[in-house]
Formats: sequence, C-alpha cells, structure tokens
Amino acid sequence: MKKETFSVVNHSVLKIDGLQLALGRKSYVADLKPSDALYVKMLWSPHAHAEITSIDIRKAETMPGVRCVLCHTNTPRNIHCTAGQGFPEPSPYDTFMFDKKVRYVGDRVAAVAAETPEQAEEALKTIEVTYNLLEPVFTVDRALEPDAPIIHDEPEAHIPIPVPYEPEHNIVAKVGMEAGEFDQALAQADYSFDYTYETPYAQHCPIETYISMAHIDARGRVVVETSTQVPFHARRIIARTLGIPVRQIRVIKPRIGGGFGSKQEMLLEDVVALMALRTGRHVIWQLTRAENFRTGRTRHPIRLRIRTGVQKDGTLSALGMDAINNTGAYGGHGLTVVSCCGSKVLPLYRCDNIHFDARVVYTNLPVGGAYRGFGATQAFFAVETQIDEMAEAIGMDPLVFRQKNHIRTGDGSPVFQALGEGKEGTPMTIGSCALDQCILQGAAAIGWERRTPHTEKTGRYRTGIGMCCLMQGSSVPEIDMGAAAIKMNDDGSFNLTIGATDLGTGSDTVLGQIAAEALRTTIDQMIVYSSDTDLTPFDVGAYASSTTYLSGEAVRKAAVKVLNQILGVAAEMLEVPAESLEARESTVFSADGRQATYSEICLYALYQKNQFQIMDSASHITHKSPPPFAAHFVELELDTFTGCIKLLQYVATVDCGTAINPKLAEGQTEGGVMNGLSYALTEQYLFDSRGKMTNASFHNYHIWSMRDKPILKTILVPSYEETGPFGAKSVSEICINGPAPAINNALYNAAGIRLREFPFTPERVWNELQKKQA
Amino acid sequence: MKIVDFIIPEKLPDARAALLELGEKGIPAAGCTAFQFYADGPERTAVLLNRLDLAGIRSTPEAFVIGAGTPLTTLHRFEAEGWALNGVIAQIASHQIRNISTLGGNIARVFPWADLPVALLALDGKILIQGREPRTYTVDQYFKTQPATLFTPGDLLTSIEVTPLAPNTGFAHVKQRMKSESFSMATASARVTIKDGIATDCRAAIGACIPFPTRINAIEEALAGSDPSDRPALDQAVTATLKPLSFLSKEGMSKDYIRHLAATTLADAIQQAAQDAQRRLS
Amino acid sequence: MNRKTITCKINGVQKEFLVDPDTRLQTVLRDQGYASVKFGCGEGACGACTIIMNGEAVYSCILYAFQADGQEIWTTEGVGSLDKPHPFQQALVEEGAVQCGFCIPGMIMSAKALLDREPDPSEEEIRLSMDGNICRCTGYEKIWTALHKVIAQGKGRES
Repeated sequence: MKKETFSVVNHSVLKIDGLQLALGRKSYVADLKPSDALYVKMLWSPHAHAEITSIDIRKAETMPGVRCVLCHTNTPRNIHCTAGQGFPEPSPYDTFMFDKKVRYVGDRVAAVAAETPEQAEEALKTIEVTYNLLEPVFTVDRALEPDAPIIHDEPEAHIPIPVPYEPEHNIVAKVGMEAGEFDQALAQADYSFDYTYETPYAQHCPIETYISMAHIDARGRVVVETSTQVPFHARRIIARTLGIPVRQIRVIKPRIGGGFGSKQEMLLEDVVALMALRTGRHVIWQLTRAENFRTGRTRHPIRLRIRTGVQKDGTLSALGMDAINNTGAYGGHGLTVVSCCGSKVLPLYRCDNIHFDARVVYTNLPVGGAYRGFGATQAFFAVETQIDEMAEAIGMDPLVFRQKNHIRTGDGSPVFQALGEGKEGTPMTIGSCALDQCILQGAAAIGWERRTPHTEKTGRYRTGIGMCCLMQGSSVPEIDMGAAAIKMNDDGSFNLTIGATDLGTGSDTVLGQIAAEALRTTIDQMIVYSSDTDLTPFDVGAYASSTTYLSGEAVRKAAVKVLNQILGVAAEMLEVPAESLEARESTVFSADGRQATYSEICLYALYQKNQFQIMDSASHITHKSPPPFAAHFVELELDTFTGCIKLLQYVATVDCGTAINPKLAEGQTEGGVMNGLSYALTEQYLFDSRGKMTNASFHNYHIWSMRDKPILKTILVPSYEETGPFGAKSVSEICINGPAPAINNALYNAAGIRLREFPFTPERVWNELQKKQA
Repeated sequence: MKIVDFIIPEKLPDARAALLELGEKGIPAAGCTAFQFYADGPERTAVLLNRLDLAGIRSTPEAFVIGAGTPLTTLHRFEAEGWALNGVIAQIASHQIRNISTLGGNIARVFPWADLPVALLALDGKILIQGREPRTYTVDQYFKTQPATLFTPGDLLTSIEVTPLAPNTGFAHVKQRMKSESFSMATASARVTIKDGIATDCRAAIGACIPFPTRINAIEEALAGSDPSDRPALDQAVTATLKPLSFLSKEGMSKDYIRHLAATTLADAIQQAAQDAQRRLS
Repeated sequence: MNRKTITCKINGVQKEFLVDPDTRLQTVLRDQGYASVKFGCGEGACGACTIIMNGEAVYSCILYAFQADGQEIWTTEGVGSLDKPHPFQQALVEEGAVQCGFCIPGMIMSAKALLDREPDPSEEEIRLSMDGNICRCTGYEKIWTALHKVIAQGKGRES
C-alpha cells in the first residue's frame, strides 16, 4: 500500500448536510411543496394480465377539485424504458406512459390530479374500466413454454442495442460466455456438484417513498424536483416519454430519503411533468408505502444452477452458472443484473474452465430493477454456498479453501473481458486487493478458531459460524461518465458542482473532501451542490458503485486544473514562476517565504489585473472497474425445535482502497449488512393467486429496528487503488452480498443443513432439519 | 372505518350517554392505533375516552385493578410483587404504539394476533364493564366469543383485574415473531403452580396461530401432577392436546408448520412458567 | 364533514387548528410547516413521523388530529437549531449517523423522550425505546454509538 499523507481525505470529516437533516430542516421533495399544489393519485391495475377494452374518464373529469385526468387515450404513446441507464440503454423499450394493456397488479391505468388527495381518490372511483382478462404468467417456467401467453405483444417493443430480444418468447435477453473446457473439466473433476438455487423478490424500502413534483417556470419550461438517483437520465427519459425537447426540462434533485437502486428509474416524473404542462400548476405525487411495494422496483428473483468441479488438492477446476432472471412485467435492468451475476462473482476464484449462460424472462409479476448488489447479491448466495460445500467435501477448512483459490493482485479473468453491460466487457487485471487481510482480520474478530464441526454439536440450541468472500466493481468502464466543475469565490471558498447524486450516501461530502485535498484547502471551504440539470455538469448518477471512484476522479482532475490557475495567478502576484510555488492550507507560498492567501488570489483575479473567473471542469471515464473485496463472518444460534435463527455476531471486513471518509465507509457497510440480514431472514414478497402482493406494509414486510440489531463489527482493510482518486475504490454495494451466504454456511456448521432458497424462514430451516433427521 | 365526527367528553356518564345516543354509529376511542386495520369499514363518530380518568393501576390485596385506559407503557413500567405483565408488554408492537395503545383497546376487539387476551386467559383476569348496571366477566366468559358482542350501546370497558402471582406460581408469555415488533405467528401464555417440582395447577392459552385466542384446557389437565421439566413428555402432551385445533398459515408458512411452532411455543411457555415458579420459590 | 377546532401547544407555542375528524395529526403538522415530521409509511410502522406528546414518543401518522386536542406536542423543530443543536443531534452528526437523514428526526424524538425521562437508561430500555424507528441506511450502529455517547457524557437531559 502506498503511504501518502492526506489532510482531508481518509479523515472522517463531518457530513456536510448532517446537521441540516438532523434538525429536520426543509430538504426533501415533500418539504418543498407549495400549499396550492395539486395531488396525484393513480388507478392501478387489479389484474396481472389484461387488455383494457374500454376506459371512461368523463365522470372523473367533472368531479370536485379534479384538474387533470390521464390515461392511454389522452397521453403520448412513446415507447421507452424507465431504467435510468446510459444511452442507448441495454434494456428493452417496452413501456408506455399509459398502455391499453396491463401486465402486473400495480400497472398504471389512469391518473388524477386534484386539489386534495381525497378528491383525487374519489375521482379514481368514478373511472370506468372494462378489462379482457388474459392468462397471467407467474413463473419463469410458464413464461418459457411454447404456448405461454405473450406479455409484450406490442409492435413497438424493441431493444436499442444489438443483443437478442425475443418478446414473442417472453425473453428479454440472453447472455453467456465460455472459457477453457468447462464440460470436460467438470466430468474429470475429483468431486463435482450440481445444485439449483432460488433467490427471492425483495424491496429497497427507502424510508422516503418515490416522490416527484413538477411545475412550469416563468419561461414555460417544466421543472421537476424529484427523488432520483439519475437526474440526467430522468431528464432524457421524460423528454422521450412526453415527446418534448430536453431543453424544455429541468430536473432538480434535492436531498433524497434513500434509494439503494430503486430510484435509478424514471417512475413518477413523466406523470407530474405532463400534468404540470396541462394545468400550469405545481403537481406533486408521492407513493404510499403499499404502492411503493406493489408498483415500485424490486430485486430480481433469480434461479441459479451452479455446477462446479474440484480436485482433491483444493484446485477449483470447473465453475459454471446458468441463470434465469425473472424481470417481471418490464425488462429494465434485466440484462445488466444477470450479467453481473457472472461478471461480479465468477472472477472471485481462480478457475480455468468457466461456463456462464443466462436468460432474462418476462412474467406478470412486480418489476425488477437496480438494487444494491445488482445480481452479485443473488449469485453470491449460490456460489458462496457451493464453495463452502466443496471445501467440506474435500475435508478442507472453507476459510483455507478460499485463501487458496481467491483472485489476487496481478490476476485477470476471462470473465472481465467477456461480460460487460449489454456488450463485451473490458479486460482487466486486479490492482489493489487486500482480500487475504480481510479474511485474516475477519477470522480473528469472529473467533474462527472456536469453530467446531456440526457433527460434534448436540442439544436444542446449536451455534454455528460461517463465512463468505465477496467482490463487486467500481463503475461501468468505458460507458459511465461523471463530470465536475469548480469555481473560486472571493473569500477563497469554492463551489463544487457535480451531477453525481448524493442520495444519502454522503457523496457530496466525499467529493468535497477529494476536491479540498487536491485544492490544498479544507472541507469547510467547499460549497458542494448536486444535482440540477440546469446548473451542474453531467453525471450518469448514483449507481454501479461509481460515485467515489468515477465522479471522484473527475472532481480531482477539475481541482488540479483549478489549482494550476490559482498558482498561475499567484505567480503573477508574487512575480515568480508558477513551478516554484507551493500551495497548502489555502495559501500559496513562494520559495523565498512570501505568500498569498486563496482569498487574496481570487480577489486579484476578479478585480485587479488580467481579470478572469478562476474555474474549471473535468470529465472522467474509467478503463477498469476495480473490485472492492470483502470477507464476512457470522455466528448464530439455531433453535432445532423450531428452525428459528438468532444472530449472535456479525463481522464485515472490506477493502475499499483508501476510505475517503472512514466513518461514512463504515456506515455504508453497516447499512448494507443490516439490509442483507433482513433480506436473508425476514423479507419476502407474498402473493395471492392473482399475483397481488399480500404483505405490502411494514407491518408484514420485515425490516429490522435497532432492537433487532445483532453485534456488528466493521473492519476497513486499507489498500491503494492506483486508478482511483487518492487510492479509492467503491464501498457501497459489496456489503449487502454477504449475509445470505454467510448465514447459510453457518447453518451448515450448526446443524449440517444447507438451504438452496431464502429467506431462511423458520419453516424452511425446520424442514431441512427434518429431512436431515429422516 | 371512517371517522366522521368526534366527541371529547370530560366525565364517564357523558361518554356513556354519547355512546348510548350514537348507538351503532359511535365508537369508543382511546389510542385509536387499531383503527387503521378497519380502513374499509363504515362511518363512525369517535367518543374519545382519554379524559375520563380510566388510566392507572391500583393494588388491592386480592388483585391489581387496571384502568382500561391505561397505556401499555404504564403496564410495562409498573413494578410490584406478583405483577406479571411487564414481559408481555415488552413483546407488543413498538414503543410509540405501546405509549398510546391502551389495555382496553387491546382486548375490546380481538385480533387474531392479540397479545393481552392470551396472557389474561392464562392469568385468570376479570373484566369490568360499566353499562346500565356494572357487570363483571371472567376472562373465560369474556373471550369465549368476540367480546364486541358483549357490549351494547353505552357500555364501556372500564377496568381489568389480575390476581397477583402467588409465591409458588410462575408465568411466561412466549411470542414467536419475525422481528421484535412484528405481529405474532404463535403466542402462548402459561401460569404454573409448582409444589415439590410437580405442577399442581396450570392455566395455558394460545393465540395468533388460531382464529381466536383460546385456553388449552386439555394441557392443563394433562400437566396437573406431572413434572414440567420432562420435555419429551410435555411435547407429547402438547401435540396431542392441540390435535383438534385448526391452525392458520402465517408469514407464508404452512398451517402444519404453524401447528408445530405453536406446540413448541406452548411447551416453552409452560416450561418457562414452571422455571419462573421455581425461581420465585427460591 | 364536521370540522372542529382543536387547540394544542406545539414546541411551547399555543396553536389552534380547524380539523376534519379523520385528519391525521401528521397531515396537520406537515401542512403547518413542521417539515421534520416525515411521511414514511402512514401506518404506524416506520417512525419517521415520531413526535413527543405529553412526554411520550408517538406516531403522528396514525393519531387523529383530535387526539392532540389539549395536549402538549414537540417536534424536532423545537429540539435544536443550527446554532444550538441538541447534544444527540450533535452526536449523530459527529458519529456519521446521518446518511439520507429521513428517519433521523423521528429517531431524535424517540431518544429525547427516553433521555428526558431517564438520562442514564439501561441497554434494554434503549432497545425498547428505539424499536419503533426504522432506518434503512445506517444499520443503526452509528445511531447507537451517538446515543451512548450522549449518555456517557451525561448530556441526556439537556435541550
């Protein structure tokens, strides 16, 4: 690791918006609402699959307080994709603002804007809709049958990039790769394994539900203030959906009440924008919690068949993954999520013979989207369970087996090159990697040496210790771009404007730290603003673990340019060559001991001579996606009478390169782990026979409170990523991948059972215990 | 249920008169935390009971007399010899709910998952209703059917009596839930009296896993005169006594599993109550 | 609808509102500009709308406005300011416990109700007093640390 002395980065400076939010000051979309805004309510489809044969909104239009009613008969029919991705999107265009067909319980039918939410609700009740019910498709197996109903039979459906798309077969995408001789290696392995795993639906559950507000400004442009992770993509998709030019639209992202991927999507903005255009009023739409569950985006459920071969000496000789991704009624993110099942998971262990084959399938169920972990979460459950199983089969400590096989600095993987985002990937060798240290430090923290085989355990309550290793990526190489602009002020402070989107992660603070470090100033001199499509430069947005690594480097580059301008002005002021000057602590020093403060320099540049505004911008794309690495450990207690699991302690290590803000990096890890724990144990989508989610409430969809929190220890293991800003790579997503496999492996250590499906409900665990006893 | 009007009476007779006059159109209201679960119900006028001095716990030699308007948090903070409800309350919902929900509200209408009905069935409580004449029900009478049927317009549940635990008697309340604030999948309460390691008396009840909370008389009889620490025998007895009951599916889990979970929970409650009795003896 | 006037004291100031019988207290508070009272679920399950009423933390989203008649209410607006934050607010910021921040005002009200009543609570009391506030960002570690910091400093009862 490179030894570098930092004055701002790698320090836990206070999050710049922390106090404002702790005081409850007006910061979020709902807080900005004027008192005369119209409220939107949506009529959602009660059917999983149906054609709308007629719809009558005339009565609704005359109801008290109603100002606008939208449905498929009076809105633009522009096919688009709601997923907030680069352009052209690696996702199908299969969505209309409103359509004549509904494809899941919770699809849009008609929207009302009224003076009060109650009036909007009342008006919805008067809309008369007749449906021609179609056979719903609730499983990927049914979707793939030759006589299955076609979910997307609209002629406009297409994918804007050259990849397979077969809506007539309910197939959204296919992707695959081969390296070496997989079949042969599997056949010749000393031990081979073939298991199929199922991962469940789940939702992000940001505490702020989806919310957007639009109004028309004095020039007639539509301004959308929205809780989004992707303001620039949102602007582009709103323009396409409404059929209006991008220049007519301004998207502002205020503070965001959490996203975790759910808001990497244009879901509400088109409706409020069109209603604002039609009424000239402020229009606000916030989903209820139940709507958020039923109609918001979810984690794709994926079936994963994992075939592996191992030699007696612990060599991993074959690693194969066949994935079927249920994308629900619309295909956004379907291809890229399943690609990440391969690209973010298969390279973790050295193996010459690799097979990957994946399909993405439409069903009439809730729609998958981007969710922290993005495919890696699903695939790591399967692969890390099977890795553990292989180690046990050859009589090797699963920790040692991982130490022997994991990828390390200097290694490449054929997977990196083969799998990209809707196209081939980018060849890459691993730079920074402290996974070896992650394993050692995590093992010491959990007390791995206390681990005894399950065969030695008796009694009702049995403890188990399990682990897993993880990786992710940092940004999407050669595709994603982030830009930053820095402008200097009279008092030596700086405006940093970025399109990068702080959705609660603290990226405004982290990017401010990077700028301050490069500018040789302090964090309190940075005025950071994100994001506003009128005022800040472009950025793809907050996803793909990219903000620190990608946007951070754009910020660093912009700061270096601005520093050079500062030095240039100082050179003029002090009448010495710029090369002889040194900047530190907001002051420029000459070799002979004279100095000029940043404030003096800016005042000179603005008012004295050769006046100009000290400012610059920079853009950045990445050529690799350096993985962060992690090893997670869990100790649990299993009640063998009931199958109930009690967590005793959890240890999460992570190598995220240089932690720009260690406390915020720990916070990312702690939050991701906690989310992963309830995903593994208590979160589930329950459906009735008609495809309607029956537990769309925090009373019945179980995310945990502080009372449920186990002892949780986070260990940041430093490394230095040469290609990242001050050695940084990503931290935000990797942490959510660990709990499901770690707990599954601990269950084996407790009682000799392995589950192929989660959440690990008491019944599922108890059934496995019964099977083992039989 | 849609609240279309509200009345905030200052005195009990005023509240009773208002409820009497409103008849079906009135609804007694205290914490109102459960009203949201009747979202699609009819229009009602709420008669708020908070100013009627119905809150508080009084200790008499025979019983704890608990005002129906006592918030659950007060029950949780209360301390006295033989008081058993702290542990029950700690397992109900979240603190914001416990701060506003009242004992009366928790038992006036019984949800399938209800907590206090199960505990009160095991604790042999009494229910006092102020109507034209004051009436007292034993919990067994009160929870025989949906208690709402016992109320006529103008009636108000005013207090609940619970006998203190005798020194050789223990109590336990076990609630199986997905996380600490969740509704129950299976709840069991037991009160067990121990003499020389043998159970001489037992009251046990289960709820949430079945449509309506109920006492399990059969296990009470089976346990009398036996050693509750003999777990295999206890499990066998519990399984046999639960056989006639039909169980519900919960949290996506099968009825058969919930039956098994309920049996284990009931056995746990009985065993923990016996251990509590032993501890209180020593 | 039978609109009626209710009076209550909010953050020490006497207020009077005309409310519909089925209006929730949260709606009234937000309409009156108390933006710290967040909408997260509307069903008494997430805690983002937590306020203190008569010294106890309650969910304003499932309370009817009429239940507040004659009561004393505190929201986060009344707890601290930019110049003088409450010690718990300060600790939350110092510990990096504020991520998206949406749950934080509710957490503050739950913690304040606890600390006002018991400045040196047991671990069990803390867990039980914070069990109705959900955070999806932090995993609670830093919030837990901040709370313990305030308690250890003996600043629990300051406001």
